Amino acid sequence: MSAIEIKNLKKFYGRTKAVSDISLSIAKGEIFGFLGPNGAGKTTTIRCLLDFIRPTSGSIKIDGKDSRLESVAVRQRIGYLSGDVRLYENWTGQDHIGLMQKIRGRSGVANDLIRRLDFNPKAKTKNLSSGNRQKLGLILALMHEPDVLILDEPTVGLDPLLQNTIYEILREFKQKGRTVFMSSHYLREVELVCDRVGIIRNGLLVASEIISNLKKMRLYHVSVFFSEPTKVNFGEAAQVIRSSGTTAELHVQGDINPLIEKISRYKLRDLEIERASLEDIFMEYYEKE
Amino acid sequence: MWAIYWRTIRDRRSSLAIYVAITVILVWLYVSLFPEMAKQSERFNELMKAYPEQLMKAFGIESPGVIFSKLENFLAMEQYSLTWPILLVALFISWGGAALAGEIEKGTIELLLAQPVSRSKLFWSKYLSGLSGLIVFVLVSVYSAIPLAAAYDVSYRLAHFNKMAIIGFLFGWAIFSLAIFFSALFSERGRVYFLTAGVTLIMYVLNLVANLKESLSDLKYLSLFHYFNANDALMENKIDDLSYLVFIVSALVFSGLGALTFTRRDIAV
Repeated sequence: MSAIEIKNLKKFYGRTKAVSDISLSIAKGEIFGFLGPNGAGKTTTIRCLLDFIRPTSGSIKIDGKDSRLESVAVRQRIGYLSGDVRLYENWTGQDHIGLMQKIRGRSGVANDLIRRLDFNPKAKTKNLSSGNRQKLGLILALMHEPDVLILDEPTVGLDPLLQNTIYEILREFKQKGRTVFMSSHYLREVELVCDRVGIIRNGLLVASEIISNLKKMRLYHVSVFFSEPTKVNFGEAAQVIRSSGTTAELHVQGDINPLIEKISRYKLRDLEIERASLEDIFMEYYEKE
Repeated sequence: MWAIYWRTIRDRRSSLAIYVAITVILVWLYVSLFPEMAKQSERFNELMKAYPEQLMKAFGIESPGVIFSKLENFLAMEQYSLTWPILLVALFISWGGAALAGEIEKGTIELLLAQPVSRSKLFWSKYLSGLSGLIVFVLVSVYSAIPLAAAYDVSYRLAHFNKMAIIGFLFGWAIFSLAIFFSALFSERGRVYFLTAGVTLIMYVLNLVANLKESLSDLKYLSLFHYFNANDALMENKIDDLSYLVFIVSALVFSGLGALTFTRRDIAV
């Protein structure tokens, strides 16, 4: 049985299609990354998973339970964290934790999480930095040890140290056989923590790939600055975007070594290799369509 | 469910305490003034006779001579016919608006919706917290007159205050139910305040116009203020059966509609 099973999910707001047709299955113990630009339908899908909004059609099952009809039982097993966690401004962190414990029962790991994230639960949330607010959101999502963790762009605006702590926690979560569904803008983040990625565009799932396969189709922007005017036939090694005597701007998909071999025969003034942005990866998929 | 109920009560206790304190201070003021006013009732009655009869009727004053004869009459006119309902309406429109639309507007509803609590339990937790606040407000603001009257050696009739508490609670229940219905429907507190206050104001004006103009007198039946008759409750120890019916039906209809709306709607922060 899959941890999450989405079948023909559609969500329309009047004539606007927020999610056109999404079907996907996420195995237990998998970390699934959900990538897409703003307005693609990532958050709408997540809100349907949590029963915040109701699908126009289609079904969602989490641990075999219908997320709409058995929403209370489903949410018993879910932890949720949004990238823009909203808290009660006049409450302390401890007030938030206390309320969740009253609803769900005493947590055995809340204090460990507080210590590990170096979080001060006595401060009022209106005085917390965005990083500390996110720490509290993470504690609230994890403190009842859920089977499925749903994260909506959880590391937006966080410093790299805290990002890494979150990645570490997610890996440990996975090691316990639990499942993570996370939306993200960051390819690096998805590569670091996810097993599989789904790419969504205009409410449609345009691709679902295992991360190792995605890595095979790596894209690079390369700028080569020759010491003197040079004419090079890059052949299969790269696609030339622009070329002017001493400078060549190239686009490489996949293995970069053939290009490095080729340009190593020439005297260079400078060389810039930039990993392609997420948008470029998207474009690859869009062109495939 | 009770965790959310108690937490909501805790969050609203300051505003509840402030509103209750204002009403108690006003009652204190009126009770302390009453012995002196009663002594000079002849002069005040003469003064009030100078006002147009229709205007007096519009404010529910049928016979000005009785106002200063009893504490209940004086409080009915000075406190419970206008100031008290305004405070009650303001407090419970605010409570109702913050209960659901306020949580959606601030985004904190996500924290609650992500918990294993059904929408209907969430709605009723918020609803019952408001109802409990209303009971506290009515009990303290109405019955505070009793020890104050005793302190100033003014005679009082407890049964009349009981009736006032009942009609006050029913009126507040209907207003709060209307507010929480709009709160379940909308995602911004401002719209809830605007609509509930707007409907309440229209009802107040309808009742006023109906009392001023004979030909429009039937309009009063569209107003909850017609059924909230503090004068009858406090002066006559009387509540019309129709008032019970209108308040209870309004409260049940709006709270039911609110629960239905909240459990069915999409909630996107």
